[in-house]
Amino acid sequence: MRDTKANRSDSGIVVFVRFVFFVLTFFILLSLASRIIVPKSNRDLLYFNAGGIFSLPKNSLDYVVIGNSNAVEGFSPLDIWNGFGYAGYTCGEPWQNTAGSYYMLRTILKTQSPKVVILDTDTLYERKSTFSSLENDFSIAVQHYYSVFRYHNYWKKLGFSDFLMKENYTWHHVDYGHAVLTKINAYNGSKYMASTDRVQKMTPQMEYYLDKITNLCRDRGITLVLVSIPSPTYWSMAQHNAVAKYAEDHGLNYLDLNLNYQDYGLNWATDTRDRGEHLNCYGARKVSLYLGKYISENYRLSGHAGDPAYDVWNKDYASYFKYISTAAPTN
Amino acid sequence: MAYNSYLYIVVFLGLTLLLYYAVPKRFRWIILLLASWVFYYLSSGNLIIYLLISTASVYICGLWLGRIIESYENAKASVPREERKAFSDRTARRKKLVVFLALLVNFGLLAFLKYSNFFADNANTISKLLNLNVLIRSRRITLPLGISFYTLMAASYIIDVYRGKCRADKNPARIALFLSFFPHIVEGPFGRYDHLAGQLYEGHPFSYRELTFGAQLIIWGLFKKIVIADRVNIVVKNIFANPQAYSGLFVILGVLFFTLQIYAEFSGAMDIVTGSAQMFGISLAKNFERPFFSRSVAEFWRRWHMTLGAWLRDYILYSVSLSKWFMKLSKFIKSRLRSGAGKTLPTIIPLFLVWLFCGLWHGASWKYVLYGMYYYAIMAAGMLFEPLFSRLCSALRINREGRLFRALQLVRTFILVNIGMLIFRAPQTGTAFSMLRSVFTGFNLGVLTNGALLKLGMDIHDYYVIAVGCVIMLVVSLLQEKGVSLRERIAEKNIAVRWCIYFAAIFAVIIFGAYGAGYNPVDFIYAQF
Repeated sequence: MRDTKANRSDSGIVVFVRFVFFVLTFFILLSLASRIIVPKSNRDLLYFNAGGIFSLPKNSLDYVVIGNSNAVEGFSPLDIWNGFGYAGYTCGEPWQNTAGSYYMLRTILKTQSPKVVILDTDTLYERKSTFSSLENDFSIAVQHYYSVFRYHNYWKKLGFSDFLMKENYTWHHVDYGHAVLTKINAYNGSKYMASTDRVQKMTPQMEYYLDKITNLCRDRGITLVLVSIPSPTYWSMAQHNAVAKYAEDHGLNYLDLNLNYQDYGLNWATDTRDRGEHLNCYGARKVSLYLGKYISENYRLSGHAGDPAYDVWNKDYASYFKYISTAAPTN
Repeated sequence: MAYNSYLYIVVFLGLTLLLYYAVPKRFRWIILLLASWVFYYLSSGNLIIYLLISTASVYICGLWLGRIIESYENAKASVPREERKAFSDRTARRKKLVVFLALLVNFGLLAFLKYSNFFADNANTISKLLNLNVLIRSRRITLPLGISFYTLMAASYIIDVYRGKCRADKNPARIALFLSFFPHIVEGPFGRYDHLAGQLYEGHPFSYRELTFGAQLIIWGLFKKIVIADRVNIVVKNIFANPQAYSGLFVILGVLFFTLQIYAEFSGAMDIVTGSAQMFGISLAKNFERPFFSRSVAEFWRRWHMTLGAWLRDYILYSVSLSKWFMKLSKFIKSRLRSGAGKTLPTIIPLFLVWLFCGLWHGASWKYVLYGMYYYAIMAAGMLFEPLFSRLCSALRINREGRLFRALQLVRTFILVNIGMLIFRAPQTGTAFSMLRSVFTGFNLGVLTNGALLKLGMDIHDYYVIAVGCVIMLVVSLLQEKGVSLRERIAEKNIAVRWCIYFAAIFAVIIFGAYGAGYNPVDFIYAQF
């Protein structure tokens, strides 16, 4: 064997010190890469339109909605604004699980201090094996702390200005995170949410992250509300029972909008875009107005109707309303 | 648990290493065995039972064989001379019976789990052709992780004991560790008991060199898998999922990219697992030796998936060609055919079984049988026509060791291997032929300039990454071919240069890797066998 530096027997302390320095340097470089290789415009941050929240004035929101595509397509902050004067934003990611919700909430709380956080309960049930789910959670955590793992593909758009690390968070999403979809594809399946005592437990990881969300909200004085958005495909009575039990045990409010959808006028023939998986904008309006009423009756939010600082919300609502009133529903 | 996942690299491997070096040397094998079983259980759940059955079966049969051999050795001297042959024959029959039992359990499980639906489908087709009213139902069977690998390793152990190459091990833990060792259970390399069992069992001292060299190999493997293989997968998947939509250069690109994908991925996986083992001071067998520098298909298979080739040679080719019945057949052929064919045929016949096994080992479908037969046909033709070709070259005064000739041989091998890859990757055998035909019917150089290649799922930046990645792989291969040990060379540099190289490699994987949003996770191809 040749006499190379690696072959020479360094003392254990030297090796250890070298290892510590190597790891430290690695994390410093990782932090630096996470500052450089990240979109500087909030348009490209997070998924769907969640990045729009960064353009809003600090601490300007009364509530936020966190969840996956069910939340993004099923909640319309502008309808709640128009009906009740509450300012909110829907922050959703595709296939978001509870770990994703937790880290999303931590990201949001860096710039906003909402009084109410609404968590879409579909994130509590991940359609993955326990082990894949564990891998996914680990990856989400790594991406949260070192964003280069999430935005590494941004190297393709990297310019000189990126090295100055100046952020440009001016992109404004006019629907406040809501994906306004006019497509109609009716749900013709059988009735769901039949009464049962069966309980579909959450996985320990999901429950662990739900506990973390609950504790985070409690520590910050935020009211956490668990909400199940109507979806015959993704929701069941067994899941309802599990969430209801969790809410009861932890003193949380739980609102399952699947139970009484007829009460607020949801019609599966017209209010879903993909046969019951997701709501379209017509369904989202009904859900949002009902939810707004629930918030106004249960939580003392002062709201911002008439506040000149929130004029843009009125303008955005006007164009949103014009769009959904005039856009022809598609199939 | 994929070898390229955060959980494997950061958590599993890291924790196992910490525990391994934290306990006294004599207990280190326990950490490896527990880690291997945890790894298997996390990846395959209750299917670990099949692994345990294989372990128990070869352990018991090995002991049984050992006792037969031992009692034969002890009694041999005391047996009267006239009874020795009968005694020896009786012992040989008993040994064969035990080997048969062990192989029956192990290959029986493999046949049931991997091939029962294939057999059922073929039986149903035959039944339909013969108008028999018999229908065997297909079952949904989940294949235990690495069963194609550990079954062959279990068989190699029992045959080695039978042949006297190694002694039957009385320690079940050593056998369990040999079969389940987490770096090689998913996709090899196939280890041999005499080379590996001792290494796994003995506690290795901490070595800075082994640790850093192993880590370097892991990073190199991750680069090949995540930066190159997973990126070209986008185009490969696109073209092979819609073969009717593509022809000409698209098909050529699809096949070339698949060859690149499988090479970068499989050799990358070998780097990751060999590096992982090296961090524990364990050396795994080499599985790749720059196969695309091969001058013939036969040489290619000596450099590609080398441990499978060696297994097929030692346990199928030799078992057949050195058997008594085949020796007789071989003698008969040689006596009847005085020409070169008389010498070649006895080699070609057992090769048929080797390639049939090789094809079927890769998967339970006729496509893989064709894949094996394709290589068999090329090699058999090469052996049969070699004398004729040799005479032709002499007559035409072609220097077979000349540079040009060698370059042509490399190109020829590369083309033949790519056709093999097309058969391997095509969804069905018919599709492989139609894709091959479409190369000539729809050839259009215009796709190189009209932007069509950018509509396959990769943008121009991705093509740049692939090009640079290929150049790096080629340079590394050329240096290795010249006998340069890159890791030794890096180790000779001062710490600043070394760290620059390490960080450049790590961040190349993190930044240029094809993972996360916009990419679907790609399972290791050989992990599905």
